[in-house]
Amino acid sequence: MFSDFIKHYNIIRDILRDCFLYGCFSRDGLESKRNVSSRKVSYEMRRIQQYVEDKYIRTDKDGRFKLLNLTYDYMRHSDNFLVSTYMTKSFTRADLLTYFFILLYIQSQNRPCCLSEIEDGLAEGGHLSFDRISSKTIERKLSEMCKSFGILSCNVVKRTKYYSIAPDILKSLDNKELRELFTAVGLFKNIVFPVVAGYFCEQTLKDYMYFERNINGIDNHYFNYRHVHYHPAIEEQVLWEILKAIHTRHKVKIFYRLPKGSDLLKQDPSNACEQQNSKALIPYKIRYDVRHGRFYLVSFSKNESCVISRLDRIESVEILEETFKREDYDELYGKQMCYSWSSVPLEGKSEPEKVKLEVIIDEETEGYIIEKILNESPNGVLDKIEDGRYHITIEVNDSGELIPWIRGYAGYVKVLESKELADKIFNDWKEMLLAYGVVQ
Amino acid sequence: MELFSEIKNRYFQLMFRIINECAGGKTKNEIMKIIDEGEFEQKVIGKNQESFADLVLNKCEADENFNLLTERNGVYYPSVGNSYCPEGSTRDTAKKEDLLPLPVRFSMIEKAWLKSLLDKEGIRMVLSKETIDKLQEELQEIDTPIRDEYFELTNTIKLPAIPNRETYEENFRILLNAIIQEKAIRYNNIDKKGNKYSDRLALPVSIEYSMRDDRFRVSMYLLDENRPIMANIFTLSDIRIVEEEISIDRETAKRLLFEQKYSEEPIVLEVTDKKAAMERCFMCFSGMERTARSLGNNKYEIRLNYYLFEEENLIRNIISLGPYVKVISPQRIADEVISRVKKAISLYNV
Repeated sequence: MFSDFIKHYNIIRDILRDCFLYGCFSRDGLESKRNVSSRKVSYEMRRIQQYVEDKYIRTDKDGRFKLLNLTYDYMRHSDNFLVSTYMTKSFTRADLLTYFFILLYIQSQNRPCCLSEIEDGLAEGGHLSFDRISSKTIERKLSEMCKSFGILSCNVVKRTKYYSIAPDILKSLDNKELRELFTAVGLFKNIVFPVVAGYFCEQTLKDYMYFERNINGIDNHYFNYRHVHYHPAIEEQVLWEILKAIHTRHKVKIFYRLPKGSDLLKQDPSNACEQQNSKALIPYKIRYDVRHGRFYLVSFSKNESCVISRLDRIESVEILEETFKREDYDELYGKQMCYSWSSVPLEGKSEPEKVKLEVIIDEETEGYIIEKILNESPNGVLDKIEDGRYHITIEVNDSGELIPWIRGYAGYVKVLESKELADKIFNDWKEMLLAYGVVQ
Repeated sequence: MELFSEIKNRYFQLMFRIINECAGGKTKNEIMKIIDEGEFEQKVIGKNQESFADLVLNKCEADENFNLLTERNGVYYPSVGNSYCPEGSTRDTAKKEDLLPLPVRFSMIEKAWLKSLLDKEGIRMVLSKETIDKLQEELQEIDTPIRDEYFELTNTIKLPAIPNRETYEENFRILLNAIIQEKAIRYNNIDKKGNKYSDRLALPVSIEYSMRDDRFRVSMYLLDENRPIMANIFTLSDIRIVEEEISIDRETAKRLLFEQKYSEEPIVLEVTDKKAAMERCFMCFSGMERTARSLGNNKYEIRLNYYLFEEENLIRNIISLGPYVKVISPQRIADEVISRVKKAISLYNV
């Protein structure tokens, strides 16, 4: 009904990610980066500007180019502004009218009503023209309002369906308890995935308090968040589909884009924007890398090999009819991912790699470094060699996953094992100094 | 149910609000005000150039209008139902006598989320047992796909267990109440180094949650010393809300924190986009105000604004990103990075 809205969230996922994570591309820059038409890019950019609150959008100039940048400061902004991009799904005139007229009618009757009563009631009042909206459309909408939206309940009496307003689950809560709940939702809305559902919940509760209980002027800005990224919200539509499949034990087929540098892409660069379809996979777990704010799906193929997929690369998920038993994969998951720091499975190796680090500190003033390292390494084993010198042994599927972490302790940590890892890190240090123009 | 659903569309929500607000009757201007506040800044326009307001107020062609509202003597009411109120009555009085035109109910997905919320460890610090029990009973039929067993968080920090969980939870409740009521507190504390502080006077500003270590901390304005501080909730003891007059409110305390602790000069980085360095860099610093521009040749410049208390973390993060991320300014930070890297190399030369 309004062209400003979109049918599929996927349409804006890429542009949101590019604007939010990079923010340094002009329209022309984005066009060449993403290999899509200038018209499409400018259309999507205009949408983002419409959907996201102004205070989070920054436009900078780079010469003659205008740059669009989404940015926030975790101390000042405790609301995830990307959630509003989920409030943009397109609807038809019939969607809007049937939804509201059905609700208005059933609520006004204050009793369960069957389809013919609803139709007759609305027709008599001249509210809906059945030349334009069919009986089937109303029936479908009623079913959707029960099963999918959950705002109606349905009871079958002698093969006739009677629809009523869904029970009020908050009726037994007094106003003080409602305020408590509002605070709890306000706190956890950024913590419990999918956070978009938490924000929706908060808004409904706010509406409930205002309309049903006459509670006004409530504020929920008592919290702020550290290491809580906002950008993973962009992947939550995909996350939700996967969670449903995991929960109902249905296999999935995923449609994804190839990462830069993948072998398939090297063979044929024209694959860059093409979707690849997976075979049927058993979705087992979602891993979330807290440091970078990235979701991964851990799944298993028919031959039990472990398949890891970044959710930001998954275009869509098809839930298949075929089911699986989750407990059949518990052991396999443990074996594959137990020693993974983030997303690399054991796959193909008989055992994890052993990494041994030497940590040199000033025993009197820098003891906290040892504490930090141990807190951050899930299975690290500490050996004190002497005052100020410690060894830490870590088992990990792929020592490459540790490199950024080890680098963060520059000046305190030396890699003893493996030699390859030690060389890699040592070369990184030398390269870094070179980048600063320091020659040793 | 889909997460991306039309009933959560901003204009669906706006329509819902308008209908319920009209229970006691609203004038055109009042409705226009609700629409102005709720719609996009760049207003949506229908296929035949109708505005949302025109459709709601039935100002278009007969078969285009929504007709969800009906006008009587210049006042609009929901077009279905018995909620018509005589002129002069308000929504509040109308509501007491009549049903709200549209009920407010959680959607399926919201119920699923709410049910999962009740399983969270920290929920008991905010909700009473009675509230949890009531909600659990109401939601018992809901089969939620949001379960902890389906998730695993990585790159987290496992801190030692909190020694006295009960005290910690009680402290959390008192601090949250103090924040909600905007009251000052007095407390004792022992810091990391074992220093003891007694009967300190502070205004709690906010509770901070860190997803990396799954801990709550409290941000306060220490009135004894006129400065913002961050404290571990579990090390505080004998916390009590006091009625003492204080010279500062929460908003001012927050502002001071932002002003005093914000760096005057941003850190400027040059990123060479190799091995996904740019993506990693932007992800690491996603919660910081920043701008970026392309320098050409696969190089980018990022300017990061940061809080001074984050400087150490920031330096570690920059170094952890490796050789493709270089500090351009301030020179002080670049020197610190160089010095640490030199020290790192020296460890191999021993």
